[in-house]
This record gives sequence, C-alpha cells and structure tokens, in this order.
Amino acid sequence: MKYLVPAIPLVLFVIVFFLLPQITMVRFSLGEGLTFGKIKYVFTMNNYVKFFTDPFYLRVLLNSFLLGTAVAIVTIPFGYVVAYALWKSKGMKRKILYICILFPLFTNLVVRLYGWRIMLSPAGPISWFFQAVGIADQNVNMLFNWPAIVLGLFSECAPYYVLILFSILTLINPRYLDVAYDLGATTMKAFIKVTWPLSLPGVVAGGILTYIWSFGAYATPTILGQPKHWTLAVHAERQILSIRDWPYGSAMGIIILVITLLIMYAQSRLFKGAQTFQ
Amino acid sequence: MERIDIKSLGFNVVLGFVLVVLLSPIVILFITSFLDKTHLSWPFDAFTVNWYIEVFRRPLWVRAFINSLIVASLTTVLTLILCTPAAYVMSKRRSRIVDMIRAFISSPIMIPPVMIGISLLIFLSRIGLRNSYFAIAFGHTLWAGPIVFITMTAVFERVNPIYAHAAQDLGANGFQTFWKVTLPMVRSGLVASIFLAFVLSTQEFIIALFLYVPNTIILPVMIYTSVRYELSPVISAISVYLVLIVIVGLIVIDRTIGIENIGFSGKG
Repeated sequence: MKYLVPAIPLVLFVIVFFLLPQITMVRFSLGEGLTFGKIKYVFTMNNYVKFFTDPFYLRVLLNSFLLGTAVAIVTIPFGYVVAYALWKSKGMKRKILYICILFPLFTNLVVRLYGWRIMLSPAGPISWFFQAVGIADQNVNMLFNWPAIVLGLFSECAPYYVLILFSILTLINPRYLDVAYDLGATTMKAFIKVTWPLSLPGVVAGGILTYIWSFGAYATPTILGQPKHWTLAVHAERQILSIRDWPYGSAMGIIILVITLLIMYAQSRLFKGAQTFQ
Repeated sequence: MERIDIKSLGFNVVLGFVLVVLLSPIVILFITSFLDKTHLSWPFDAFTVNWYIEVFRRPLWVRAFINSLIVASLTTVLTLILCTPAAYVMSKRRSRIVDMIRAFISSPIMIPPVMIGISLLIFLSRIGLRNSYFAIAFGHTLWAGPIVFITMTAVFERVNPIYAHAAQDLGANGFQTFWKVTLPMVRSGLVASIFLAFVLSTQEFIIALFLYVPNTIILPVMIYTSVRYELSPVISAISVYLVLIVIVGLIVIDRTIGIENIGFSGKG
C-alpha cells in the first residue's frame, strides 16, 4: 500500500472537490429555501415531494428521458459506422478519420452549437440551399425544435461513443473473423454472428454515456431550443442561479445524479459477464 | 445480400454523412468569419478579414480571452502536479485497490458536467472561494484530470521497467528513479499532457458557466451569453481563435505521443 502514497494528492482532490460537493448538495436538498437565496437548515423531504407532485416538472423529467432515448437511438447506428470504419482502416486513412473525430470532440461545445445556429437559421446555408434547388420558396427556420436539439446532441456525443466503441472493437481477436470466413460466412453474416455480439459491450457503454449526457444536457437545449424544450438540468440551473431557491435546485440536481447512477449500475450488472470476457 | 464492407458505396455514403454532420458546424465558423456584413445572411459575396482585428478593439472580449488563458494555465499546472505522480505509481501495478482508485478518479467525467458545476458552485460559495480564478480552475481540473491521468498512465506503461530496475540496483531510491530516470523518458508524454489539459480547459464551458463571476468570465461563457441574442461575424471570428487553440494542441499531441493515445478509452 505504501507505494500508492504519490497518488494521495489526486485522490484527495477528487474527494474534496467532487465527492464533498455532492454530499453538500444532498444536505442542501434537504433544507428549505427562503427568499433571497437564504436557506433554513432543516431535514425535510419537501423539495422532493414538491418535485414529484408537480405535473410540470414530471413532464420535464419525461422529456429528458425521451431526449436521451432519441439521441441514443440516432447515435448508436450512425456512430457504429464511424467506429467500424476506424477499426477497419489503416495508415493515413485511419489518421484522417481520427482527426475528424477528435477535432469536433475537443472543440468548444458552445462554438459548435453556434455553428449549428448558423447552419439551421433562416439566413443560413441550408435554408439557402433548399431555396436554390426549389424545395422551399422562402426562408426555412430549422431551429428551436426537437430534431435540432437531437442533431446538436448527436454531434456532441457521437465522437465519445465512437472512441469507446472503437476501443472495444480493437479487442476483438481477428482470428475469430478469419475462422468465420473460412467456414464460408459472408461479410454480413460474419458481422452479425461475430463482430456485433463481441462489440456489444462497447455499444452499451457508449450508448449509456450518450444517454446520460443527453438526459443531463444543458447547453444544447438552451441554444437550439426554447423554454419548452428545457431539460431537467436547465431547470435545476434556473432554480439555483435565477430563482435562487438553492435547496429546490439541489434536489433536482440530486434527482439527475441518482438517475445517472442507477443507469450506470444497471449497465454494470447487465454486462458483468461481458466485461470479464474481455 | 447487402454486404457490410468498407468499400461499399452505401457504407461510405453514411460515413461521409456523419463526418459532414460532425465537421460542418466548425467549418461554417471559418466561412462566416470573413463575411463583410454586421449581421449574418447567406449567401454572401463580400469578404473581409477585419473581424479578426476588430475583436481586439473590444476590451470585454480581450479580458475574457486573457481570463481563459489564466484559467487554462492554472488548470494545466494543477492537473500535471496531481496526475503525474498518481499515474506513475498506478501504471506499475494492477491490483483491486488500484482499479478502484482508477474508477474513482475517472468518475467526474462519467456524470453530466452540469452536476460538477452545480455542486461546486454550492460548495465553493460556502467556503468562500467563488470569486477567484481557482473556482473555475478546480472545476476544470476535475474535467481534465481523469483524461490526463488515463493518458499519462498509458505513457508510463510503455516505458521499459528495465531502466528503473537498473537505477534501483545502482542505489537510487523511488523518488530519484522517478525524477532522474523515468520522467526524462516520458518527456514527450508530459508535453502532450500539458497541451491536453490546456486545450480541455479552454474548450470547457458548462462548469465555467456556474462558477464564473464578472471578473473571471472566460471566453466560452462570453460567447454563450452573446450567441443567444445575435449571430454575427465577430463571434465567428472569436470562435475561430478558440478553434485554432484546438488545432495547435492536436498537432502538438500528435507529434509527441500520437493522437490515438489520448486516454478516452478505459470506458469514458
């Protein structure tokens, strides 16, 4: 154990600035919000009761779930194509694909969302293109709707999904595929019988991350959507920074956190076998 | 039968489509930043490079840019000091406890970043640290730390342990071995990590949105507040400056350790 001493500062940092703040948030969520951001430190479940009995917030919660599902459904197949291409490519082509994934992944989310704002706006290139080819006869506004938000979240999550899936694909022993081909499997059959089942842990891990991030999305719904598209995360932020009801906002944050942890726990139980297999 | 083949047309069309979706929002910024109008409209025929200069005449934007560099520098120093020794000791052995610590250190990037923002806001307000650059730097370290840690672990794992053994046989203690033998051998990995942490900090905004105060506002937050009200070539030009930081960072990381080795794997 003594050899782990140099790791202590990092572990302490995560405890103090990650774990402790989460605990503080739990404590806040059990308090009572007074006006002007003041808090009465009592132990009450009122904030949670208030949340789960408010049809408005239940609707927001449902929307957040649906948004996560929609983004995962889009990201899983489309991201798979990119991860598969990355896995099968070599040399220069692999390098270029890598750059195409890492460049958007690293680029500031706000900057990319601003790019989408331009792309989808009535004065933007897509609207212009539609008019030029005669699909539309006036400016088209493609902003402020669910498809725009799903598109934005897809372009946010897909790079991470691709990298996670790719890291699982590289673990597949190429001999399995050779054997399948030797036994007369077509490319499609080899994919369905060998590659797909072996890559499933990557699909699930990447899909779960996509789901969690879309469920907890903040920037995309506020930039590409309207208040009716706001997720739970946006409402939690509103409660804390605008309305200044810190305990209620904290309770919403804890609800997001608990749901996130439950999803991750379900995944680890579901894929226990698959992970030891690797 | 339909074949899944990387040479098939259908596959490549889908691949091309996804790549266009990923890259077009960034490409459009470069194009619109040269637009010679104050507001955005398409198509356009007049080009100018004025917006790139105009940015520096706006003190608020300059201030936000400098703040971004300060926060990114603090984050980089903090991340490197915390992650290098931890990655070094944990790259040498695998045990149950090491795996647990790894999972714990990586946990901040597994949850929605909004959660780090909200909880740190509450926590730092209580201990009175909110008005300093460190507020955002701490949040960014939670974000960059796990990625740099995973990358550094992989870098240390590739060092042949025979040199460390030789140093110890010659009487060096653990710290001397690390400082005089292993660390110089991973110089390129360190350079890559410095750029990685710096880029990650300059490109993060959700955590910063919760933790900034007017004096410490950083560029992405400033863009966020402006984007909601106007689309203009000036913001495109500012965005391009941020994108240039990514490009420089990726080139340096690729030249030192290769971009394939950035540590997003390890599940997240």
